[in-house]
Amino acid sequence: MTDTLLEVTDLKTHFFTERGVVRAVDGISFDVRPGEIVGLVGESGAGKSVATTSIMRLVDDPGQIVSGEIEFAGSTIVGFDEADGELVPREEMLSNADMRRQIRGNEIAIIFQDPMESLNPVYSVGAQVREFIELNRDLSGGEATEEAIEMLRRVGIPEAEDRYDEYPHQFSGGMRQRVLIAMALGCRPRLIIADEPTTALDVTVEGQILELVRDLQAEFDTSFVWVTHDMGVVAELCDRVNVMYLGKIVEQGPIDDIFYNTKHPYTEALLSSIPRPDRTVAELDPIEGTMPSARNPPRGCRFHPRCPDAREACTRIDPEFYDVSDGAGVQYSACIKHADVGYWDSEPFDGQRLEQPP
Amino acid sequence: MSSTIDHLEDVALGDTLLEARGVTKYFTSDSGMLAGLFGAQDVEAVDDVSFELLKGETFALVGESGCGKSTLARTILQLIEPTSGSIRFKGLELTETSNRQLRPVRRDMQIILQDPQASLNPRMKVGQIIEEPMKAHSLYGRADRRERAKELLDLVELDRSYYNRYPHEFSGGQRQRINLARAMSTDPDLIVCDEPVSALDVSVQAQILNTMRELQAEFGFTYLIISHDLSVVRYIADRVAVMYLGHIVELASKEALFEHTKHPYTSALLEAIPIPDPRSRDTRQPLEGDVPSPIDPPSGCRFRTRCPELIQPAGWALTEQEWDAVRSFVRGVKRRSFTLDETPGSDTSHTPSAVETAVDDAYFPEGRPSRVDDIVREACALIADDEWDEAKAVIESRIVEESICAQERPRYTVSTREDVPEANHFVGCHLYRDGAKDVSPARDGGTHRGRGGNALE
Repeated sequence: MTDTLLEVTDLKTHFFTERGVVRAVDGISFDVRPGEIVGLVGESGAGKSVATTSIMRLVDDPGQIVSGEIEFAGSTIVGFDEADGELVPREEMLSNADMRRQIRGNEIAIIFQDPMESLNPVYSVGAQVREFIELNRDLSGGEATEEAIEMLRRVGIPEAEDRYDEYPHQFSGGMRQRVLIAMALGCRPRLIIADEPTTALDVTVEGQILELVRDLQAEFDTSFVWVTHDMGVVAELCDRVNVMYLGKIVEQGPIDDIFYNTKHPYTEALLSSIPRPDRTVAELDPIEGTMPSARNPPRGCRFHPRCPDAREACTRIDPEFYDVSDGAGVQYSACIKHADVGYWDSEPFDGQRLEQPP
Repeated sequence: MSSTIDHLEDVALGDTLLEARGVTKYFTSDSGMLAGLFGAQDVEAVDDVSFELLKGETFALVGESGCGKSTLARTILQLIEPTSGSIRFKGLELTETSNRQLRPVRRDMQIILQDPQASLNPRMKVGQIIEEPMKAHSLYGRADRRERAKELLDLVELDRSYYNRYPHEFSGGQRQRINLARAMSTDPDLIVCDEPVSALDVSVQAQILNTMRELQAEFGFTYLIISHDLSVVRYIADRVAVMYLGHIVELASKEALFEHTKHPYTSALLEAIPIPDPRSRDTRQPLEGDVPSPIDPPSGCRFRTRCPELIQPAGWALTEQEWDAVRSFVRGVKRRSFTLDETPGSDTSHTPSAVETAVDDAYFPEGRPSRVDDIVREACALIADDEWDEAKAVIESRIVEESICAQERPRYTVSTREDVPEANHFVGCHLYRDGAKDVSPARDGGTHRGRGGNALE
């Protein structure tokens, strides 16, 4: 209880559209401990961003958190009770006003991919950082100004005092992203959710930001949920990783195990499909096909139509999260290879690679 | 009527298909109403760049946003008219050919753009889209075009039945395949691919890259790939040119560039890429600062303002440690990153000697090298009066601009393998001025042949 900051259990967020229900997030569980950087990695459409907006309770219509629990440092962000066969929000669940006043900004801050959309173009950068700090911490105007300048300097804005009065358009993309980090950290939150914050940046700028985040994280001991599609960024930054595919977490574990002791065919396929900057790869192994729609996900294991290891059983059995720990930490995989439910006796499809049971 | 296309030479695999020499493109901002008031400023997007493309190879232009790679590629295709320079395609000088005469030549060079959504007309069926270039160049009859479009769908691994579908029914990867089929339809020699996979998910990227390779092996296409992603380049390219602020700073075969990196910018770029391997995490020194404006780019080597290896002025004879200290001092003043004992926001000025003490403590604990003693004193006096900009100017003119890096544009070739003379490696960095062949003269500016690569083997 004590060493978990954020705990997400069986969260489901669905979108009720005219063309059917989109199960964008369909039963995911993960946790974040204090001072930890946890990765949420997957391709577009995996449900990463919906998961994070659910944590902030910022899911837009027609989306709705339909079930599950989110606990943050003793407060209930999402919780349900069953009454007459229906799920109703539990009493201790934070109200919208509580979320706004207590959680967003000062307990959990979020950084988005496009800094231009998060900054107001008609206010100076400094004023926006100061306002954010003023709202979320008990500081007077003057103190907040000083703190804002200090934070801008800390995130590496040169001549912070002079640039305090400049406007967002006068900053480069990397500098704007630094401003957002300054804003987020300035409020001393316990958790920062970073949603692809470096994806739109050039690689040298991305390098600068990752370095900065690592330094600041060590200093402030802030926890991070880092959302990305880039396995390189994950390897560089994260302590633990959750790999998402089509609304589910398929594998979860310590960073080293995810890369070196991979237990889910999707993670494996993802890793062998990426070109490497550090060595020349003769032939990449792409994942066949494309990710199906979350409106009508495949039955059984959602990855089975593209999985090189799929067998007949995979089309029937909806995999649970199996404990596959044998490395340094706790590792889970949602693949029925790791359970005694008949995978090894089941018929492989034509042309599939044939693996022997362990 | 003789068409220009009759004058094109046939090029064998491995021979020069396209040769760009001294290509320069300045954009002028003098067209606006206010330009007269403020004076026209040129944006030096591409400045005196030379390279050649060999038939059947994959040549990559890499660099960060704003480095001029897309402008260069568009200039090569004559979609933008160059300010100066020569572009020869199959022996024809494109810059001296009128648009009308150029038209038939265009079927030999096609382009694929980054955004597969935006580059397909949503109102046209896939078949029409693929047939359009053939129609524009009056190739084949109606029925043959139709048959060819279906064959092309086969080749890019799409179903023939997609012929009658609309682009919106397809995923990003499939759309990029349609683009590929369209580009191939006129059987071109050169296909320029501007960030062909950067809008796609990683698993789909690999599918497209593999298809592109297979098609090249079969039809001998020459690809000019523009990309910011060095991982993709390492997978698909035979030769690579790295651009920074309108200049090519390094050009070599892929192996030489990645394994024997020469230019400090290329090294910084390579070091910055996050490697998908948690066991190779290390503390790297990220590149400082931002790319300067192309309106008034730095003199000499354009990377020198951020370069960790700025060369000391000739005749200074400082030890490495001394020069390191001077360089940190230069950086400190430029970024105002050293703080004097003061409360932020207050305007208390300092005595010059207090500033000197602070500077000595921060940068010259071993004592100031006598060569820079008076320069440091002068800068400190200005800083004491809060005249930071003047202090920067003093440092710029008396230290930085004395360096060869600020005085001459570096262009050298070094041979990485003595036994293979064409394995030359072009480096735009003065660190390689000794023992290298200077290729500065504008007529011979940095064109090098590397090995043709997999399509030739």
